[in-house]
Amino acid sequence: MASISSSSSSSSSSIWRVPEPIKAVFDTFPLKTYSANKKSDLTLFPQNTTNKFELIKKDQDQSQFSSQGNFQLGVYNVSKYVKDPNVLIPTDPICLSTLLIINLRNGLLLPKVKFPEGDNGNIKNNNFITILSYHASYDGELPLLIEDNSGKNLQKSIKSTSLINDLNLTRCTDNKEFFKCQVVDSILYDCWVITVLYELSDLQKLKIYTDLLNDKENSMVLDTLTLNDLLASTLITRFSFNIRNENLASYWSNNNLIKNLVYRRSLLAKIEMEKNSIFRKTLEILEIFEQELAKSNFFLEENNKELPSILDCKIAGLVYCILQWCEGSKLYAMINTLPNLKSHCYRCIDKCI
Amino acid sequence: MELHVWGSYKDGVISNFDPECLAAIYYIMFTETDVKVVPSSNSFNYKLPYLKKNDGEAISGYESIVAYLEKENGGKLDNWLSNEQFLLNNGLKVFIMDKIHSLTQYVLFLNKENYEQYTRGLFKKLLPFPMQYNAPLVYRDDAVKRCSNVGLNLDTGMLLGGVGYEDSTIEELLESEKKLKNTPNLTRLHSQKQQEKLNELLLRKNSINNMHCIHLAESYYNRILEFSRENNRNDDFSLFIFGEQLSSSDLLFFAQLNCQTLDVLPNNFMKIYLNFKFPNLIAKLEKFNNEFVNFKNLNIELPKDKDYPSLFNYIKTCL
Repeated sequence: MASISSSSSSSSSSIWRVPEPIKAVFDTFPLKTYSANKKSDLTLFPQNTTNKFELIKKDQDQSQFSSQGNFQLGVYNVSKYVKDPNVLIPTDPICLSTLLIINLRNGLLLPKVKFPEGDNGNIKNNNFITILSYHASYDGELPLLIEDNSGKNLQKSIKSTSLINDLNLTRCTDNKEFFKCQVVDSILYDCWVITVLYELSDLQKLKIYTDLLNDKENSMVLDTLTLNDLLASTLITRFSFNIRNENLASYWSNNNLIKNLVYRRSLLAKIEMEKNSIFRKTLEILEIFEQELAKSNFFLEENNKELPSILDCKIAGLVYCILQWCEGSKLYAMINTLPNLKSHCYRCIDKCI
Repeated sequence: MELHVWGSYKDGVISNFDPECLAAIYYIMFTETDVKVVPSSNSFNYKLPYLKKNDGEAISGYESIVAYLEKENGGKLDNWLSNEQFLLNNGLKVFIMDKIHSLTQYVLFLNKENYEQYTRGLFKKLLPFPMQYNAPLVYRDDAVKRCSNVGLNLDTGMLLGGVGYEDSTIEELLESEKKLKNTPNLTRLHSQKQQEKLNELLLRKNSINNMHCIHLAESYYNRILEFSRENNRNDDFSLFIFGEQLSSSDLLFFAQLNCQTLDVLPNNFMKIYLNFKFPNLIAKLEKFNNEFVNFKNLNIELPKDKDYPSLFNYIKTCL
């Protein structure tokens, strides 16, 4: 009996045992063993991470309008200001100009990497900019303004990019400024988009539109996958770029793959035409803006307030982002020949520091 | 050079539902440029209007066509504008194409009455079988996209921001519509009743949308008229936005107005409203039409075989 049972057990082990060489192979693979995640779950939420940056008041008394509620402005990412590495600045032109407009209106300063000890305690302000994923907004577009009017009833209102822009435009001083803002939001913005799409490397695009790179453990493969979806869903639709430039939009959007393959040859030619016409218009317009700045510090000098207007903020945001991110591109070369616009953008941003 | 626009390929009548085509034709009328107008309705390869240059290359869209012809002509239309006015002219054109164009699209393609009784049927005359089925749908899709951008589509735009409506009546409307659609039919009488209720809801939805359209129109036209008044030393009756002379944004503006106030539309709420609220604007439009618009002087040519809007030519563009 004993001999039979031992033989049966030995036979079963010989069948089920993994042969030595195969075992050796599987012992060396997988290539990487992941350690346990030491971070607590709380880090998943923005409250406790470095995703949130406080906007402090310039001076309590001087502010034009006292902001009663608190707000958060959601942006894609922030980077250090070129002239002062202690100051943080949004990486996307629309986010930057929106932040400048809000800050100037409420007498707030741009966020700092680290506040000096004394300042932080006294004036407790609850206005923030927050780095968000583009998934945070229903249409994939940032900036997003979350207002918390926690006076009587706890109500949060969320404003989309287009709504923020519409509200900002209602504050233009006159119709001239309004129509000039239209030019900036359409033609110059289009030029920024095609520069990002065609002339920036994937790494730069990721730096501008995600904060994934801050988290070094993430793999690059995932990032590039995200990138395509991001470009399709956020850049193409913002400020009706897709309506003005149908061919470019259909090429870059996700749901036209078959159509794009069928028409590929003629589509590429049409895209080239659209790009050329945008560059031609941009050059003409930038030159006129440059001439206007030769006379004065800001576009609307009549105010005599020495404060940048909505138009100033819009142009400054765009010019700054081009200077910071687009080196080597056609658009950068254009801006580089226009010294007034260059100095104007730093002048505007310095008003918020 | 040939300018291809929407029109009847059989008898060469130019149709007037597309503001960009109309504006491009106005440009040629006004500057007397030597360009043949071809009502080919062929939008397979390029969006209409497009200008076919002598070397076969095509330029599509009012803005690009005007930019090209101005360069060729030495600037017959916009040359007199100062630098700042040039900038404003560009901004104005963007504003017109972005905002006022969506009103036009709403009137022609999203308003149910107008679309079903006028616009959709129009394509039957413009395109041969079987091409007339797809074209209005493409246009309508485009119209939906544009209109939801300005918050002019009850099902998508209005509730999801854009304009930021928090109107409870709209929510109620959509809610009850959803409920009705989800209730199963018990008898024929029941389904009849349901249909009646649905129709009533649809009517209410339509009228809310029309009102919203009119509300937007008021703000847009007020802005343009105010701007025009500033440039004309408070003269309400001056024909041109920048004073003195015509500019390319004037042509586009009048083309949009002409399309919105077509007399043949079954539901002409826009014209009634404009007549009531902006009589000066309608007077200006009539003056413009009398003084500048004259289709007789145009050099109209019927499309050649290769420009004919047939299925065969469509397949050729795909290859």
